[in-house]
Amino acid sequence: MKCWRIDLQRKLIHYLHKELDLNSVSKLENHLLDCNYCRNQLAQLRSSHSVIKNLAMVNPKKDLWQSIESNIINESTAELIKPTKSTSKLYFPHFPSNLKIAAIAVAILVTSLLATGLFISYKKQQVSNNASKTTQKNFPRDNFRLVTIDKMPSNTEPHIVTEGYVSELRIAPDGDTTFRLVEQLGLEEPFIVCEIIDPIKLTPPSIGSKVKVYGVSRYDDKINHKWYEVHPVLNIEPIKH
Amino acid sequence: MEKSQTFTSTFERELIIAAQQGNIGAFKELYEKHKESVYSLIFYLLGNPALTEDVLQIVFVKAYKSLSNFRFEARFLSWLYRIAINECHTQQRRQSSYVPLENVLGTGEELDPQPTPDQLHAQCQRQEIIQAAMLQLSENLREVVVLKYLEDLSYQEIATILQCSPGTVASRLNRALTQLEKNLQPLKKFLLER
Repeated sequence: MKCWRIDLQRKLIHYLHKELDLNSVSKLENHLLDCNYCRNQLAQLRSSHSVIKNLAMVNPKKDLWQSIESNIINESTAELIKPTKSTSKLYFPHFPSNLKIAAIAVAILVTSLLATGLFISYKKQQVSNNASKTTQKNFPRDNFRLVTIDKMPSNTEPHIVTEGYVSELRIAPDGDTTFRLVEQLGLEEPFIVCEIIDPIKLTPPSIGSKVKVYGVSRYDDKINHKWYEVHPVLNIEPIKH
Repeated sequence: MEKSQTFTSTFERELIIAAQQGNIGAFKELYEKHKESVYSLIFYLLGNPALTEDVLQIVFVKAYKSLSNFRFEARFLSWLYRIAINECHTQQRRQSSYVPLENVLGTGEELDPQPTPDQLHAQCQRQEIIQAAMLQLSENLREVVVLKYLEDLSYQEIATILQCSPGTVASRLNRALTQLEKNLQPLKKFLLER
């Protein structure tokens, strides 16, 4: 005979999954003692429950981390070169909470503004203002301190020169170009990101080439970035293998 | 099956904070810890191993990108599940709703060429039957079943992930078990005996 205690039938699933309070459990169990229909309903639920509780975890057949990691890095680099109308975004990133890093970052940024301004006016004096070029003949190399890529975290100098291999290159629609510099080809880390900004017209290096990069060092604190950069790049010199 | 934890452990919390600050090594540890659970959820929802691998990658890349939005208000795994379910919905919209049976049962190529012991073979068959029965459920019923039976989540936790009420979770589970009972009826004897 069908049971019309719909309110109690609805609680059967809660009872099966132990989601009822003691009072409700007691009320439902009293009802089950007398109700054949609800006992059958519960038995049916228990039957599929006993099968489906064997649902097993499944493991991915291959290690997908490498692919995930490179996707994260690629997407972050792509974000880095999104077109920006205002250059202020480039020069005033969010600083990390760590005061020491913040102090260094502020010093670097202030210097980078000055350096960029000076460099742009220097560029204007050149005969061919719009000509693209890789290296600057009269570039003041002595003003830049040599820092290897792996020593970037401990560097406090704003003007640096570093060298490495170009492992990745991206050109944004607004003309800004980003490339990734690594110490050794085939090794993802350590690395830095170098950015050529549009006002400083430099020819981007080719992927796989070894180059010396002059510019302003900074730390990019954006949530998906957190890396060291040479930004802006002021000069690039190819190194013969 | 281990009862799910309600709170994020201190160690996991430290990993999340480190990952939020850009430590990709910490994020890798989070991935290693949760990949099996997330993979299983996607696998049972989509029923296609190749697509599952693609979606798993998308889920973890998206999770990394939006880590700053994680405020420790829910379990980290629940948060990952939410991303995974959203991504599965996106994939299901792109794909045809029809899932070929060989996607569930395999083409045979992926089977271990070594002879398998009877018991292992039976276990595989059992899983295949359960998976096939699961895929006959509608999408929203499948979601609650996977969340309930893979991780033993409470109704409240499932409701949070699926953004519905605990009452809806209970009602869907009721319907799912009733439908599974019908789907599995012809094979029940085999499944319970082995």
